[in-house]
Amino acid sequence: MIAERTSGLRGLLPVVTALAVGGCAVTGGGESWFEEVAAERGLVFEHRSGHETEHYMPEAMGGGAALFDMDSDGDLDVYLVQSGSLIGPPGEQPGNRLYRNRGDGTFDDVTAGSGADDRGYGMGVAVADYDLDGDVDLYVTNLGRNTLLQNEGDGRFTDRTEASGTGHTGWTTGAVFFDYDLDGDEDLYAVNYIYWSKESENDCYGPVGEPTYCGPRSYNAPAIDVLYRNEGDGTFTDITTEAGIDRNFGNGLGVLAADYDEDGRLDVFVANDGSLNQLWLNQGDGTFRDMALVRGCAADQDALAKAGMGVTTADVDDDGDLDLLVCNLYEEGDSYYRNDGDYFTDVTALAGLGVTPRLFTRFGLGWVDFDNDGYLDLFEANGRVKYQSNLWSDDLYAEPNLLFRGSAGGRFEEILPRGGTIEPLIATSRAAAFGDLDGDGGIDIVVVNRDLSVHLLHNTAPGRGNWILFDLPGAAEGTVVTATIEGRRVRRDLRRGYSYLAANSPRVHFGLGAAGRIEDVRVRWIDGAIESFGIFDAGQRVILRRGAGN
Amino acid sequence: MADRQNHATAGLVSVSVLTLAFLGCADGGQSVEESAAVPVPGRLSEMDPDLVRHIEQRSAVVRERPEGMAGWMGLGLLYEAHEIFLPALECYRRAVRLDPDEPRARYHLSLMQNEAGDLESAVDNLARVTELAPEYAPARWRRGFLLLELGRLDEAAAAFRGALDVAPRDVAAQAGLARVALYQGRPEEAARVLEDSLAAGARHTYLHHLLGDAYRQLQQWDRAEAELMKGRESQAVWHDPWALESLNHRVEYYTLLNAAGGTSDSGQPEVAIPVMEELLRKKPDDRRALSNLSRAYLRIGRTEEGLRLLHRMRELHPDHFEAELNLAGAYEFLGQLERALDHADRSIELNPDYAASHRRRGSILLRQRKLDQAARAYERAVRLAPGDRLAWRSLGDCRLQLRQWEAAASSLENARRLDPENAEVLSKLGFARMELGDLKGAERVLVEAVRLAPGEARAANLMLAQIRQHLPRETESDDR
Repeated sequence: MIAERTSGLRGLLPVVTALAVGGCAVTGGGESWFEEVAAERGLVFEHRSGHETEHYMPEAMGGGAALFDMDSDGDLDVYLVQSGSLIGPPGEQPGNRLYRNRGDGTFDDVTAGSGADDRGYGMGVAVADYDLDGDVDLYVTNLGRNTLLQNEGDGRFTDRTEASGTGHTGWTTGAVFFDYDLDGDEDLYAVNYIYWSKESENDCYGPVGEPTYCGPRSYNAPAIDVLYRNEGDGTFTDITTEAGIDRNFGNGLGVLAADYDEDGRLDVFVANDGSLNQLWLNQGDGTFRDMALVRGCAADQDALAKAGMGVTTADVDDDGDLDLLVCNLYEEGDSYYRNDGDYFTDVTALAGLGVTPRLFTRFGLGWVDFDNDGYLDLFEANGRVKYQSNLWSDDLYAEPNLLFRGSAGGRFEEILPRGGTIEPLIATSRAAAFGDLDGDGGIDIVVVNRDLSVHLLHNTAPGRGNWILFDLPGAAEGTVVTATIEGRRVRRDLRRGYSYLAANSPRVHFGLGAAGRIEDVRVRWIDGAIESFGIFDAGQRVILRRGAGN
Repeated sequence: MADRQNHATAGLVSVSVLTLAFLGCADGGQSVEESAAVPVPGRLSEMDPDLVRHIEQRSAVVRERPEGMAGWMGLGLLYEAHEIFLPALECYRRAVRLDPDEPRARYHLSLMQNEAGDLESAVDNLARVTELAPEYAPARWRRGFLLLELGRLDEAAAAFRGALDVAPRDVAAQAGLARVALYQGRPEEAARVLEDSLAAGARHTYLHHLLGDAYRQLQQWDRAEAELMKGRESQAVWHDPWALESLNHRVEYYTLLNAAGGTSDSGQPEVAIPVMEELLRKKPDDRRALSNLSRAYLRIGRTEEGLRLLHRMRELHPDHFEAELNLAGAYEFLGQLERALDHADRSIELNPDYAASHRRRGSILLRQRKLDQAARAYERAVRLAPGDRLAWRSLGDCRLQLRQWEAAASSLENARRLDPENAEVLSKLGFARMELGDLKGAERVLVEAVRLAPGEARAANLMLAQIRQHLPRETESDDR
């Protein structure tokens, strides 16, 4: 396969040299957990960074994805964020694409006439029913003005950016909708990376003298994020200053909204690239306070403010609170911050994530139970931002992805073949969005690759266990579902905003292993109300409506 | 266990694979026998020509005398210095094969194995290095840190203790031991190790970060916060002369230029200038070389030469703001403020979003006593770069001079947040708070200012004396 793509030994060099990296073979042994089926399923999309000769930093960062039910027909549709060109005239970008799920995990491109083809130099996307009209809307982050696309419910989207007041201009990367003030509608947190313009671009060179992308620190221009309060009438108010969000700043990328101190209010965690992370604890009075340093998730055990890219959160160790994982640049391990109640402890090495990840530059990631054994696994979508001497392909930035099997207590072991596909997918990957696209109970992945076709990784994990999916119509980010599986109490949250530049399935997925049913299912809604829904048999998607429980 | 087997197998595979791979990269026409022995990286054509020349020269040495261990070391160090890790690893492997009892080659081999993610082999090699060079503590603590990364905590602790046996005040080993204790849930022990180390005079700020971690686990929040602030953005980088050896083998243009720039910026422009001059001879039009060398000249008072280079840079790169910005700085330094302001304005015209240009403009205007305009320039600078501590401090200065006490206090608070141990900032913040009538708040920061810089705290002490005259009366008044 490799030899077919190249000619002669010179061509062979990059790939075979790369085999030595990591001390692990990348093929052979083990079964694949995924097969790449994007084209055959109708997901035809090629991301374009616009890179020609100059190295403009935004080219290295973009490519977002959302999995959301745009037409309320019960399956997940796909929205892919395009970048374009930084050289051509603004407004002439190729535009984002919208794909409707036919119901079986195959897709039709329905972009034309939908109004969803935002033509900014795109980065990422957040989703929510911001106007509470029953369908899911999109917020697209760009280099330049962001765009709020209101879902009209009939396959069309209307640009409501100006009317809503959410058209922040700058370089926004991650974004998340969440109800910080518990008033019933979801507010919006938009993460900004750096203040950047073509004029402020620097010349940077790698260790062998080759021109390359600069790191964010070289611009010395970390940006302040933006918090918008949803006023409930279709408009938002920028409350960044009054909420105290302008009290700190960083080169922000990944973002999460979750209740880390278990006080019933959603906090915000921002992964910063080369500057200290932020943990904005919600004070309950409309303000936030950055407590990352004191709580222990600002830097790693080496005090290093690492290059935080993607983020994910879940109760990995079954102790009832939310742990945190941030992925980083080559030579920097992941940062697995175990929630110990009042503070986080960096237990990356103890979890088995100290070595292999640091050989790659990771972006999109998710703690997801791919094999339905009841324990969360880890997928990381990788791709460099700088030249390194060991190459995986002709694409200087391409790398394979990583897949780890999770086990009790939050420990991880790498699955080979690397990345979980029978032939490792070598690409410069950015967003990874997670959800069950074909209704078979296995969580699939959509990966956006820089200057390459999108990947749809259909879950084919061997010996996959039983499963159940819960749909919670109208429920907000951070809604908690707990249940008992063969005597073990497990927590899974409704969370769309995690990974990198991605919006993920809003459904709450439980892998059940060999268990045939799930018991004592309870939902803690975002306002703190708790409802019990009882027992369910495995192998189905169940709708849990508020008020239908006890 | 299965993993370890994979690692071992891949390690064996990698030698032959690399050897094969290098064939493909060698110059065309070479025989298999000749080139198979010499690891050459891919994409030579995209590398700095000087680096390629050195690679060729050193490769020729090992090709001519493949049994010479020093030749392999030289080529390995050249690769390592330029982050060409896998060929470096292979060179060190050959060196070790030729002289298994030479500790430095084995040490560098372990460094490269770490880079390649083969920690198990790196740990084994470091164990052998400690046998060969028992007094070299970094080999011991480096092994400890790798074992920590592998989660082998007891072995890590033993390695750190071994380092302390040969170097009882080794800070890296003390930090390592503290980290093991933290991992094992013994924060009291970690705190004791770190407190002892700091009490004994260790100055590494990372120790404060770790001590903050320990206090956090002990739920001593105030102490934790204080230590974490002191250790903020510190780095766990330790003195290891053997690891630094490769730095002397840097030949690539930009690597050298960056290193020389760093040397100049850290206060040794005289050392950096000859290197920079040599580099500029190689690329006479290079903007970065012109910029770095002109700054170094200006730093040591070779003003004419600095200005000449900056004007040349301006001619060569008329649309780039950097020459204008540097000229603004140079003329401000010379006291030619109008001329400096013109260049700052031109720099902003060329790149309105560059914070340092606005800061420079603010600085010039402040010297011209145009305080309102200076404040506006600094405001623009901090909006573009909220982490610019210098701009916040200068904005605070401006506002103090404008007698805008509240705004001054706010700016200086930001400066303090970014630079918590800057006595001057604290002193000025104390003054602003005094003027706002917040005597207790002023006293707190002034006491801190005096603590941080007792020798330069005259103004702070005077203010403290004034405050303390007033504070009792205030208290009495409160009592009444």
